[in-house]
Amino acid sequence: MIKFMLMVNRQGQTRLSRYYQPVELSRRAMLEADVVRCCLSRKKDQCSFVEYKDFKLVYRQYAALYIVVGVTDSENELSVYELVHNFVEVLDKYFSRVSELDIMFNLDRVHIILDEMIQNGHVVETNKSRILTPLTALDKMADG
Amino acid sequence: MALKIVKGSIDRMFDKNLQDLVRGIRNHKEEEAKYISTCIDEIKQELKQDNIAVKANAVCKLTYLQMLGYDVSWAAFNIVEVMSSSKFTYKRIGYLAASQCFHESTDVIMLTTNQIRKDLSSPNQYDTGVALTGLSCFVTPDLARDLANDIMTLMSHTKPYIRKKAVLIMYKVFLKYPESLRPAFPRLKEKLEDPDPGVQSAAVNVICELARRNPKNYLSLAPLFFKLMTSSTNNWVLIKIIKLFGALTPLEPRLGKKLIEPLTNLIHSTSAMSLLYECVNTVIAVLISLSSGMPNHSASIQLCVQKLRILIEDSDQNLKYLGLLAMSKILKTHPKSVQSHKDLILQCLDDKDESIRLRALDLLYGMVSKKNLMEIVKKLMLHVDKAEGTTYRDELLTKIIDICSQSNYQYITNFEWYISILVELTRLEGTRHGHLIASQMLDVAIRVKAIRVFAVAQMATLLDNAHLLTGNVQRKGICEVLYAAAWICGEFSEHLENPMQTLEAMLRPKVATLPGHIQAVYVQNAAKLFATVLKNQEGNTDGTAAQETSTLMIERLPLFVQSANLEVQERASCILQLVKYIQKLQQKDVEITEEVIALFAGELNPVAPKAQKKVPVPEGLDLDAWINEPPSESESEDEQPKAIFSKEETKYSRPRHTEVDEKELAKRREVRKQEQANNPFYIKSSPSSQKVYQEAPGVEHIPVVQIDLTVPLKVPGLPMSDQYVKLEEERRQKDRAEKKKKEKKKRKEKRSGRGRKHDSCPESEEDITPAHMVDIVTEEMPENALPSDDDDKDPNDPHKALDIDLDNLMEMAARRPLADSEKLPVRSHRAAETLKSPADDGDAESAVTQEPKKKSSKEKREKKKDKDKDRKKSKEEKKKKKHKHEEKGEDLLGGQEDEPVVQSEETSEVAAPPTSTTAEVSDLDFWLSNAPVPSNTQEAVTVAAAAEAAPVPEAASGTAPDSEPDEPKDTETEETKSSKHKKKKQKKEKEEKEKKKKKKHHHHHRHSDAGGEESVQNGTVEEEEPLPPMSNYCLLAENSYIKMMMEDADQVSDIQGNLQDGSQVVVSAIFENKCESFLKSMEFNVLDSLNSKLQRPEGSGPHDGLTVPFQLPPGVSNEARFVFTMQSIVMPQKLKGTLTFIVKNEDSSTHEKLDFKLHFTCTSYLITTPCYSDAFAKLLESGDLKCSSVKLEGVNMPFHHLLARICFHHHFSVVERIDSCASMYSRSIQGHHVCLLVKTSAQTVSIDAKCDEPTLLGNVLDEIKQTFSQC
Repeated sequence: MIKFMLMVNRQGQTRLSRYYQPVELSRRAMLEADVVRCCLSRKKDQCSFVEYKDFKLVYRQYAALYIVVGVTDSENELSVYELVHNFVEVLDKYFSRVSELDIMFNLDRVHIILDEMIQNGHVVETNKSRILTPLTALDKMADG
Repeated sequence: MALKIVKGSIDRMFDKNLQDLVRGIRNHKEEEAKYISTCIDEIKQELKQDNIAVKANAVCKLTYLQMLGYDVSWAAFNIVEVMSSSKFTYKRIGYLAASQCFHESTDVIMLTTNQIRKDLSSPNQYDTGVALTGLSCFVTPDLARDLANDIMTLMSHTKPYIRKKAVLIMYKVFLKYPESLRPAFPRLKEKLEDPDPGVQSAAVNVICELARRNPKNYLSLAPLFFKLMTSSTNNWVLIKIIKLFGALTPLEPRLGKKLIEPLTNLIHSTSAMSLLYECVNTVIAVLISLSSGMPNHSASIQLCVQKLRILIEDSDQNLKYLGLLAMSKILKTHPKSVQSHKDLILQCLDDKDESIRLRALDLLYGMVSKKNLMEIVKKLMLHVDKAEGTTYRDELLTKIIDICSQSNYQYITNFEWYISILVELTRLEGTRHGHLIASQMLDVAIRVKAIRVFAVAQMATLLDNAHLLTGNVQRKGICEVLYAAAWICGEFSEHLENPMQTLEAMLRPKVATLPGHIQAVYVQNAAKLFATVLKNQEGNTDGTAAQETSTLMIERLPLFVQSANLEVQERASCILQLVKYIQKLQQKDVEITEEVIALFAGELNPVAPKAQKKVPVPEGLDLDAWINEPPSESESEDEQPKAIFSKEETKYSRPRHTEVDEKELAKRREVRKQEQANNPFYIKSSPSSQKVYQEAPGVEHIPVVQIDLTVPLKVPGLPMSDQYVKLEEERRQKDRAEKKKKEKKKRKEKRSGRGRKHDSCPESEEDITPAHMVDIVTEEMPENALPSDDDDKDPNDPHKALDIDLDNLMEMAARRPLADSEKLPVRSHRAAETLKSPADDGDAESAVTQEPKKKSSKEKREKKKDKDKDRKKSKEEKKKKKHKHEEKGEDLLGGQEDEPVVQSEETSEVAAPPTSTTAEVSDLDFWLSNAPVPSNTQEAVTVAAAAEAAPVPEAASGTAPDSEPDEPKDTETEETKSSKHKKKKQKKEKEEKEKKKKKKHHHHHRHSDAGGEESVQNGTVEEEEPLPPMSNYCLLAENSYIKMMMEDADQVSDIQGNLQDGSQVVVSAIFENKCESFLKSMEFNVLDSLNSKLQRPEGSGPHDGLTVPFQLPPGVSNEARFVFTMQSIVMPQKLKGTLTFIVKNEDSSTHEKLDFKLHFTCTSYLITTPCYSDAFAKLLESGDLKCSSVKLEGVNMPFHHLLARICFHHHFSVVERIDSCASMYSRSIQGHHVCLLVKTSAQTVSIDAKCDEPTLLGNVLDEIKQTFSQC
């Protein structure tokens, strides 16, 4: 299962974090910093899976933004790798060409999207339009 | 009031929203903390306002700050306020904040229960959705308990959106409130078949996650998952399911067998790499759980390896990494298949990515052979030089040593080379593995006698150049090597060329900077060297040289006497005094060399780790007895006040002695083993017979290969391992040339040989002879060592090899199914494509004999058969997909059979995991049991109705006689047609349930002679099958209402206690309701004969029927078991019987009956009993067996099929098999031994048989003959 999902930029600033297993607030900062260091230090020609402590990190880089997913050993790395891309595609569709700023300014919406896709650390939905349905409904509600 | 609202909204306009906050933080990079603290103050103000919009905005900002790592727990109550807003826009902000900030110890959570409940039942699906999502993050045990019911209701919500979420959150609820699992599970299971794929996938997710933790409890769902797997197209779901199967297969090898086929199909067909990877992983898991070496599995392994190769060759680093990862799993069980891809893996060693290189390194371990070891290690050494990071280099170092030392240095042909490698490794900077290198040096030097000269020379050089090792502070780890070097030089000092020089090197002042334990070894071995030096100078008449040595010692040793290390100090002062004394004697010209040498005389031999344990306890010695009477309890208490330290100690240590029980002893033994394993002086594994090179007389005198000293050495005195590679090459070439010569000679002599092939092919493993005769010393064992536990079996024992070869099958088959104590393996349906069946037979039978009283297990077994049948049927139907609709036989995967039984059991099972109910297990068995049977059944040999039906095997269509409307020869043509009509009608009515129905509905056609005409043998052979599936059941009788199948009489006998007064035979009959009505009050009756009697409950007359203990709803089958008592078992028996039952419709009920004949073959009195070859030989020698033989002509099947058939149908087990000849054994329920010797040549099979009961033997042979005449 998925333990957490992080979005961090090159400077190591967290842009989004979601934990599916409780982690103390104080530990989060350390974990995030460590995880980010781990991923940032890797070169482009290195594979996207890192064995980290007792679990694995799957990361993907989009421009200056890294999406890092912590998964248990039993998770299929490739499918998580795909999931990350799927997530970014959904963001891209919703924000039409998503950027780091979109994510920062619309954190709540990104969370909604993420919650539609992953719950309990499990993939719930991968269909883009179905993922976005609640959000568009919400936007309409806000407009109306 | 209005003013307030206006004021509020105006305030809001000036408030920062999230965007402003983010911008602000970006604009205040220098003083971020300060900025944020002002923001938090603002937020606190905002939260004090009544306006919910303002609050929501504040909470939203807090969420962001929380992400940045600020503690916002103080706002928990405000978050709850926002959560309870009626407006969804705010509510979701509240929930989001809660999901991010709340954790189990957040106390305000308990305030939310009612709010959440309200939201869950809200008419707005998004309210519910957001509540569910939030809940999944912060659910507590209390919340879980209070809301479990609400969530459970939501699992059946009309909207899939809600169902999906509810299902997923149930997992969290289960975790927090385990009691909910039991009531919720049936519904959860239902969701596996939800029409919405999203919900289905959610349910799969949850169950997979549950099952991964407790796979055993979910085995019963395997059929359902299997169905999903073959029907789903969603890769996400497939991955989950396949992963789940990966977790289940270790528990149930039969499941694995069943999975192989669909998985390989997926591997072939899928384009999704993630799915491919998962399939490969699971196939590997399956193959690991199964025994290796089954022919059709090597194909699967090949497929996996091929696919992995494609992954590894891919330019995508991710795929490469995963490919290597999966490859290493295969390596453990199937090293051969991986070895062929050595090139690729070596290539990966050069990869840019360290993770990939590390994975490749893991794989290398299994790739080496005698031939390529040097080459691979050379390559690794290059990497060691190049490696930049110490971690990677250390990894390389350990791998090199692992690779070389594996299997007791199996692959090393030249130990000089290995020593050189070790010496080269000492030059690594900053390695932590000095200890590892040291222990290798010691091990090799001690155990490989021939290498000592060389090793000692190398070690002496090392000692001489010790400054190179110790000079740098970074190199601390490596100085461990000096420990080994000093010890080797001291212990084997007789090989030293210049002991004086080494002695001098060992006594340098710099040594005092080494760690204490190394100094200690230095001092001790300096003494040994001293002795050697004295000995060397013995011949000299002039004693000055010897005295000089003593002086050297006396000069240098005081340095060590001052050492802070106790050990060093003690040894040094002791030796110093000794040397001083020697010097005194020397000055008096006393000859003392002999005495000094005697100090260190004798050779240290390696001791086996188990040696201690094997020392026999001398007679009359009771290790547990007290040496002194323990002080009485009161006494010690009295003493307590005065007790001084030492007394207290005794007091505590003594009672502990008494507590040493078995466990404690075992633990200690474990600890000791551990210690020994870590001790370099203990030699770990004992070399197996093949690996030990024959000790040549006078090993020491065998000349060591000359080192070409013209090759420039890199470090003075330090050898270059590379030269050995060259040398080795040359040597091998020479060897080969010589061999060729020899072979040529041979060929000349023989002239007619196929030698050419040999000649041209590259040298094989065996061709590589070790560079010099090497004696890997075996460990010492104490005299008259106790022959103890199995693992100590002498590797030379010829029985051991036999053990593996023959009993492999048996043991493995026996252990696995039995490992699951829940169920009994079934003999009859572990159908056999291969030799496996005899083994299965064996275990089933032995299990039966062990537990003849276990009724439940018997039932299980029977159910299994039942399922087996259904399964076959469904498979057949699958094949005839054209008729799918008419047949309604689509429960391909046994989902249907599960329904009635499993569902009821499920609930209890879930909550009480360890005791999964028998019914379930049996259902699963049922589904699994015929896994390897490719399709419809064919011959059923020991069948009741065989005699009648055999002449017209095509008269009916095997086990699915009801399902062939177009089967022209079917005796029931008319009925089937009518039934077809009926079905169509029904189909319209119940389209939904169609899948679950598999039964046909014949009506109003009773066969007057059910036993004769209707009972059909499952004998349709019209379809070609690659491997002959086997089954022991047969259709006993059937009519339009009911079908009765009988498993061939399955015996249970009380062999141990009750051999004399005959035995019992158990007949399992499957009753299957084929009509739409309810069948009840079934009574089973058989006309007893003189010899055999149906066992009836006490008090019933000899002609009373037995009530079948169940009723059959439409489409359901069940199994009943009947016990017969037999007097004589030497002859086959036939019994007539009747089944009466009531058919109950909505409006009417009618009595019906069905006749049948039971056929007890002699075979059915045999019990598969494993027999070891030695026991078998004894039995044959005993001479009280009668002989008989039979010849079978025109048997056209592979020998192992033939054996499998005999094993399967006639309950034999293979004792020993050599080529096309096999000995087999079985035993009757009354204890008759039946031995077979089966030989085959061309198409003729001859069976020589021996038995102590000739009539029985004759009948059994006849039956065997019949088996083969039918195929």
